[in-house]
Amino acid sequence: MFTSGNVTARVFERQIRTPPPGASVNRARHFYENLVPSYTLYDVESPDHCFRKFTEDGLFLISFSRNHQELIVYRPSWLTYSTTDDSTTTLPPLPRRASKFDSFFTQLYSVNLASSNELICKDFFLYHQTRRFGLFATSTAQIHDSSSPSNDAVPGVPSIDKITFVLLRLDDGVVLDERVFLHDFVNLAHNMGVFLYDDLLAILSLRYQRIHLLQIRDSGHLVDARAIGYFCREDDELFLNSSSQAMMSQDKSKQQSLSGSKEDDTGENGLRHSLSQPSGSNSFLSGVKQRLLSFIFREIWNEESDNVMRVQSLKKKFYFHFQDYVDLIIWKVQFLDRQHLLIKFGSVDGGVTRSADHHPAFFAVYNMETTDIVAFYQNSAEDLYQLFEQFSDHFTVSSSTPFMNFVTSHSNNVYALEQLKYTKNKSNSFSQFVKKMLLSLPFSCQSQSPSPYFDQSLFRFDEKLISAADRHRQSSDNPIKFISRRQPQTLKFKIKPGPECGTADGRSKKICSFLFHPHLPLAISIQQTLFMPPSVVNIHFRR
Amino acid sequence: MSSWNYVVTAHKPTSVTHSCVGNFTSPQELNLIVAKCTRIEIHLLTPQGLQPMLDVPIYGRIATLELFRPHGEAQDFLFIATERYKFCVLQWDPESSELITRAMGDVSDRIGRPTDNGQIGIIDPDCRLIGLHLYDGLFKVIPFDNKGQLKEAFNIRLEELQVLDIKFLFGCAKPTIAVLYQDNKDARHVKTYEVSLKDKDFVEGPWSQNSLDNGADLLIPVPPPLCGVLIIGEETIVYCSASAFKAIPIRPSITKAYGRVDVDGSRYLLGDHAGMIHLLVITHEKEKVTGLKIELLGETSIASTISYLDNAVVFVGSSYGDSQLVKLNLHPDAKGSYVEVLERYINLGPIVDFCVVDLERQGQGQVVTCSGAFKDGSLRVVRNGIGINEQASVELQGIKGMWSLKSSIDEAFDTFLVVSFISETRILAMNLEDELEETEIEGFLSQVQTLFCHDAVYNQLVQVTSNSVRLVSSTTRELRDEWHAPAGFTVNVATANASQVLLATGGGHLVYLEIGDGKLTEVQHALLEYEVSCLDINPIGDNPNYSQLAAVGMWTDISVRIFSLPELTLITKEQLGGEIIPRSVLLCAFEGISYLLCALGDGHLLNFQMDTTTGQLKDRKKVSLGTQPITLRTFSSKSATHVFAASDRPTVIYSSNKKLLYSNVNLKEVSHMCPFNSAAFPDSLAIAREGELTIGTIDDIQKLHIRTIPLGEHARRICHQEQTRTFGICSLGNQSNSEESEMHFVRLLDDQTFEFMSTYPLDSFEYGCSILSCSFTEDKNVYYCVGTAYVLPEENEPTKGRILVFIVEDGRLQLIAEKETKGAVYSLNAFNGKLLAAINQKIQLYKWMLRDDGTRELQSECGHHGHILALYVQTRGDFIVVGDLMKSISLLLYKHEEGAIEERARDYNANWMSAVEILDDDIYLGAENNFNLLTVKKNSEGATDEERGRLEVVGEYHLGEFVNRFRHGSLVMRLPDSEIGQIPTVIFGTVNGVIGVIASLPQEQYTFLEKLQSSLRKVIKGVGGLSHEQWRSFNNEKRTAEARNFLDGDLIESFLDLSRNKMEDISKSMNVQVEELCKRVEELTRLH
Repeated sequence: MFTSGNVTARVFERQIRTPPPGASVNRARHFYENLVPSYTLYDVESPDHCFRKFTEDGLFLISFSRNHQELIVYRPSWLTYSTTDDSTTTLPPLPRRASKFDSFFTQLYSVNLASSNELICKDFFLYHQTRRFGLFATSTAQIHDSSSPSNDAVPGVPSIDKITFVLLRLDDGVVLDERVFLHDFVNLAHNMGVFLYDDLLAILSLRYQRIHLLQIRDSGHLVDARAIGYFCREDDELFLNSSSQAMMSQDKSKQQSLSGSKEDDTGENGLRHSLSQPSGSNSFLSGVKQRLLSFIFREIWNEESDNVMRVQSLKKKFYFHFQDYVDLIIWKVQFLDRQHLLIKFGSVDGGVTRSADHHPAFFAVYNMETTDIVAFYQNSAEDLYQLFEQFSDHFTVSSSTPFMNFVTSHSNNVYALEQLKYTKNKSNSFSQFVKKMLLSLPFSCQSQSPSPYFDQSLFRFDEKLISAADRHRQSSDNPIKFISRRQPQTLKFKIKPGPECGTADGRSKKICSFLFHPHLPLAISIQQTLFMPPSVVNIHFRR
Repeated sequence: MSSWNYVVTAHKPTSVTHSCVGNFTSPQELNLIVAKCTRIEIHLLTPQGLQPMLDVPIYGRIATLELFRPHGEAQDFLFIATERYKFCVLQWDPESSELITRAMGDVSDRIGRPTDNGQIGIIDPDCRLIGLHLYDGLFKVIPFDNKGQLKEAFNIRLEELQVLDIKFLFGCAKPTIAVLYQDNKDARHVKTYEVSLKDKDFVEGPWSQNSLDNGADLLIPVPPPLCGVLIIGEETIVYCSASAFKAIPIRPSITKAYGRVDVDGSRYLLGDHAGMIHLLVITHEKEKVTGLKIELLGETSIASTISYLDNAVVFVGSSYGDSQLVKLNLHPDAKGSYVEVLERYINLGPIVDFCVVDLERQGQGQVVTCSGAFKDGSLRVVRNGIGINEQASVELQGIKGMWSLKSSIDEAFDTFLVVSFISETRILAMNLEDELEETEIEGFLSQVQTLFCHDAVYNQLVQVTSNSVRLVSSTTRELRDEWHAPAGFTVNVATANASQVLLATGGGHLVYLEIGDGKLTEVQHALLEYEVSCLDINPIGDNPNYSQLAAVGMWTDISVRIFSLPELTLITKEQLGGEIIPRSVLLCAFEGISYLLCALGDGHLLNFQMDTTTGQLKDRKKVSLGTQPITLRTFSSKSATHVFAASDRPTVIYSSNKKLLYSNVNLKEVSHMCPFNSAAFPDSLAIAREGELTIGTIDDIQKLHIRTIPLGEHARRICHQEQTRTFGICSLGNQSNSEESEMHFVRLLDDQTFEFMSTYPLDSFEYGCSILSCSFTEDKNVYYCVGTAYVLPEENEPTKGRILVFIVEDGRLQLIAEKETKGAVYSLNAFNGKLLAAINQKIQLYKWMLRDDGTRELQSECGHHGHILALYVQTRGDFIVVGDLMKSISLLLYKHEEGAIEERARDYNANWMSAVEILDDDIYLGAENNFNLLTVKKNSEGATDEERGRLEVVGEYHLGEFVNRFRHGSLVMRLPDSEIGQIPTVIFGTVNGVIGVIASLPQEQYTFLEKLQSSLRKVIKGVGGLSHEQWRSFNNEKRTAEARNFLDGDLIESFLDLSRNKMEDISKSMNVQVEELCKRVEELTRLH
């Protein structure tokens, strides 16, 4: 888009040449080829916090205190300093305070979010950009062998006494609202159990198999929109309660005729099961499960037109697996749009453990408005994979701002697609490959960095060492190179998480995480050994 | 406080982005449709040339402009898609001459990466669907049903992720696209796909072509019978179809535009980056393609679009120079060129830099722009209002009236100029030396004041004095007849044309005379109830010598009346309202419409449309032209009639697009004017002002005047030095269009002649990046300071630059001092008697020091680090405002005692700045990469350091234009007494050639206009149903937000174009009188 590689020529070219229609952002991003975080300040004097991430608009840096009680919010303010030195030969030295974290980041405030027995979940943070709200979670310790008395809890799922979601205005740190879950389990690691889509928040209670849908109001209130699980429609419970009360006072025959007259109602199935809820038995299916089973049933039914074949097919594909289907629990949920959820189902064991590879799993698309299951796939389904390959952006960026559309994926970037195809061709078994790829679904909310340095149309880098995904990595002693795409031989910058010949004594494995600012040539790398805190913080920036 | 801003266009965009040709306004008419980014113009092709039919704003930046003809239609429809993902289909309504919206919609997707190579919009030649490529990997289809209506759109996955071009192929049973794309190894290929509307998917197409020219960038689909596609590369051109492949090598060039010559698609015009036009011919035998031929035709402006019109006439639209209408000749001219330029259409874009100067020292700002790029670079002097080019002048005090007379009615030129004073009349005439000399017309009275004079039929002249009307032979100059005012009455006002005289005496007597051969006949007499204040019988009917209507302005009842002639029957009476008497009335016709103009004693002008048969007046409008009484007089220029309104603010009234327009004349106070078309001074005006009689010619009648100084090279920085009356520019010339051969210069130009006076060549690879005229503490000299950068192509960023200090001596640039810098000097500012430079990411302050040997040098004092690229810097007192490439706006403070520069506050949003300016102490204005404007405010009252350290965004607005420069100043004469004169303004210049004005309004006025704007939004519907509110909403890759604290002056000023009914509607909704609204809006039009 620019004819020259030199930034000054580009600045002047921008003055005369209009970018192709709709590509002014794309063109501006090309400046990142010139402006890179190539200078590193190693081991800056930094407060001993867990640095979580930059918000997507780059206005805040979120961190937590080591004791996981406090939220400390910084403003990335960039190093500014006055100099009098102007030697024409060498770069002037940085001022002494440059090696302080505070020179780059201004602490806005520190708020205590957790009481004594609670801890902030350091892997959980969601950002509502339009309002600049942050969502945090605190929890008490996890009890593995849950002996909680609750009847409708899924056995085998651990319980946490108290999980609190805190909605906070990041501008000033004022807590706006809280939502508490008692004796429940929400998978908070990497935002797994929570998904934010515009102002809609889905919180998945693994223990009670309920998707709590909340709305974040502009006023900063968390308002219950609906809960999907046992019930599907907002008024199901109300309707059920009123009907069951009515039924108490009615004789049995009337009750039958009532439910009989409801035969054609779409909500009929859910209704009948729910009717028996007061009995407290788990032998009846929840609304979502019922929807799922009926969808599977109908799909198989519709496959065959011949009645005999149909029954056989049902036997083989449905009744035989019936109990497996019944035993499925919701593992993870994401929004596809405002109506549709992508739900992953699996066995109880797989829902809690991290390595769920060998467990069978299924994907369903659920329409919240009609309360229908729209589609159902196995985790080895090639057609789902095809969709994922071609339209991965529809899975990954559905939660975010237009800026996130620039995040590289194999659906929008020729190099990433090539890489995917390479892996695909290399894999021994296609179905294993599909399973592995589909592991990333449903997508974890806000788990990618929009930093342009991860834009693969601008830079080539080793994805094993660094990527847009928000993840800790094993530290490498070799610098990570960012190579220009346009000039394939040109190293644009390298980033090294440790000093050239520092503490690399090879004794302990080092874990490294990178936080890239979403639009500035600024990154923090945090290096920690497993047993020796505090961590080392390096700042990479354009000098 | 400058928070409340009003944005208005002084000069519309002129850079042509799209053009197309078709039968849009009628099946028989051929139209050229031109898009200039945010406007479209519709022209009609006539034997006389292009005739403009419509020029309308589009609420969006046009991404696609295509004509197409749905099934069953006899004429074309227009498809427009905008960069913000809106589209519309427009049809011409011949009844109202307006555009009707046939369809509109939004094609944005929430998900998808906007394509690097730009949005593509194409229409299937058989009109089955519209195809859009907006996001990588997605192809959007809007199908047509069989009635030509658009159906719901859907996306198809497009496997190719680096698409360069997509075109529909002709002559395919199924709609078929050809996709030109680049693979991950940078090789380029073409692939075809059929669009299956049923399956909403692609089916592999009939052919594909791998490994094309590395520079292949453009597809040209070839219509039947040949079909197939041309693939235009930088070194080869390929014709490709399912059955044929033909290639031809070409001289290396980058093709920017093409135009199809023949309907059968056998010849094409290609325009390249250097402005060369080639003819590409597909040779064929019957329907079989046998080869390609290419021929250089000649040079034009660098084309962005080429539209072949008819009869070898071609429209060449340009973004880098003037657009042109060219004729392709069969035979080459002396220079071997087949191209003949018929007409040029001025384009100021890209305006890279400009300065506001008062070259004529009249208190009127002019803008001198660095316009155009590459070989089409130029300087343009842009001035508001109409200039008078003085030819001759004499000192004459107390002129009371002036008329020009011919020596015979058939003469082409005027001979005499009659000048009337309070108690005498003088006759001036041209002598043999072409000088004005006093002469005599024997039959005229010279010891009295003349009230009116005119040429009359039968070679006669008429003079009206207070006592009589005298008819004089123009050949013998002797009196032939005389009419005397009745005893006891004197003539107060009089008027005449070639055959009629109308006069009024005291007591309300109106007398009508007709002129015969040597005879004056009193034909009619009427007694009116009040005194007459003014009269007119200017013929506007079919007979140029005879009027059937008379307009009469009255004292006492403040009315204007229309009488029929010769009967003197009253046919219309219009109360003017108010207490100010009419001082001048005029009947006139513009563009076939008759008007009555009526000027009041307080500088207001009323205009009415008049029915010449019934004398009925309608569509009353009132404008304020000045504060003093106005006299109206018609004159012709370029065979069109105009009206000159002489007053303290002389104005020319003219008509364009059947709308009356008012243009300032760049003179202070004119008391009288009369056209004086003498042989020595053809087409001149005689103007009486300030004790002086001036003969001068008048500029073309239009609001903005643009003078072009072609440079043949690209000027990128300009500044003016008042003391030496020179301009300094940084420019670059291209010897042979390759980067290496670029040569950069600092040039000195005379500010009157614009001739190069002196040139300082820069080193190779050294760019001139900034230029400043300034002086330093303890040195009374004025210098030009130039900031440069060594831009090595292999470097990411310059590591070296220079600041050069020149003095102008004997019209030459003398280098006085030179200071090396560690990067590109993007900006230079005079700062506290020192020099403030922005160098790469740093702000650096230099002192001007006297060395022991008496020479001077720049010595660094202090610097400030903390930017990504400090590109744009403005200062005010000790404050420095920096516009960063990506880090928005920051505010720095220079601390004298410490000799240090510190950051005070910053806007933390991710705005990619393209220009900044300081509006006042607290409010700073910025323009950014996504065509938005913003204002930020210093928060001195913040409670915490953190709050004070933040610049709060107070205003946001989508301008839709890429601003390259802001400058304080004004294009109009600032009259200190007027309210408008108190409003501070900033001028901006953009890539598309827009010159705009941002005016900081008082809050009361802003609130009022904001209300008006929202009322107007309801009444004025955007073309294609596009929403104004959405269009003006701030929009970048991060967010969209409603516009605030900026008003769209273009929308507000379009109030004046509304019909009376619509004005009434708005008046009702606002609860403000129409007149009041008109007055307030008209005042605003004086800002530009």
